[in-house]
Amino acid sequence: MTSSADPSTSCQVRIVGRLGSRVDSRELPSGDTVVTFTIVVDRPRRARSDGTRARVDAIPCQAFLAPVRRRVTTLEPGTLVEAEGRLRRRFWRNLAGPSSVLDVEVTKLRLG
Amino acid sequence: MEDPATQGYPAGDPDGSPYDWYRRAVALLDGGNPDAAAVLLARLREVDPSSMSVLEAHARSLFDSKRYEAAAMAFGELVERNPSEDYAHYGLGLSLWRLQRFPEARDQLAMATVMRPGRADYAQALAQVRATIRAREESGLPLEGPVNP
Repeated sequence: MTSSADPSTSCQVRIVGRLGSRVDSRELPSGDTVVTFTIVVDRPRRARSDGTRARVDAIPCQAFLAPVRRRVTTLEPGTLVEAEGRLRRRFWRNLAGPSSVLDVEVTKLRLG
Repeated sequence: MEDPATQGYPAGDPDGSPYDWYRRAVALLDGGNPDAAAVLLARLREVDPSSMSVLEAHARSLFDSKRYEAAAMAFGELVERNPSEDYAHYGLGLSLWRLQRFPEARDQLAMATVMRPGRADYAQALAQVRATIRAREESGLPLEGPVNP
């Protein structure tokens, strides 16, 4: 049994959208700092088939790398950005039981 | 003749199916009777807690009834269940504004505006909350709560 990742699989993503209103920074128990934010992407009209009126997707993002953290905290809500990173599913447990969320760990961020 | 104090309020379970209740509640809401709509919609939420339409209508009815704390909770649940719904952020922002929780209101209204940049009502609400925050900052007043508690 090997623990190395299969190189033929990938969850790399590229998002171009508007920066959401909140950029929150917090320190983890490990001592690392993580910045969380949202990128809003317009949904193509033909893709609005999930029974909601949503015209956009608000994509939750996280950044651990200092250059990304610094950059995102200087930007105004609504700024067009281009982000690259990887999809990550995060798990946690609270009073309601186990929960998880799929978000993007952003490794590069530039103005869109 | 129906007692005006209870007019529009259901006694026990209302007649018809839950869909009939929903249509009646929306008619009450649109007809300017949000208190009665809120009662009906609260009962509907017990019957169908998963319905987003019911939750949104309930949130609207609570806001129109000036029950802003309850409205903020209902809109907050809507945001949590569908973070991509701009109207939910807008409703939450307006409710927090009425509760004088201006920084939180600004964040929600800014998010609604980012989601729908073309909506003049979103932009106007955001501009007003930002102006309030700026005025309070310049006057050294707290950014939350009444000016003269």
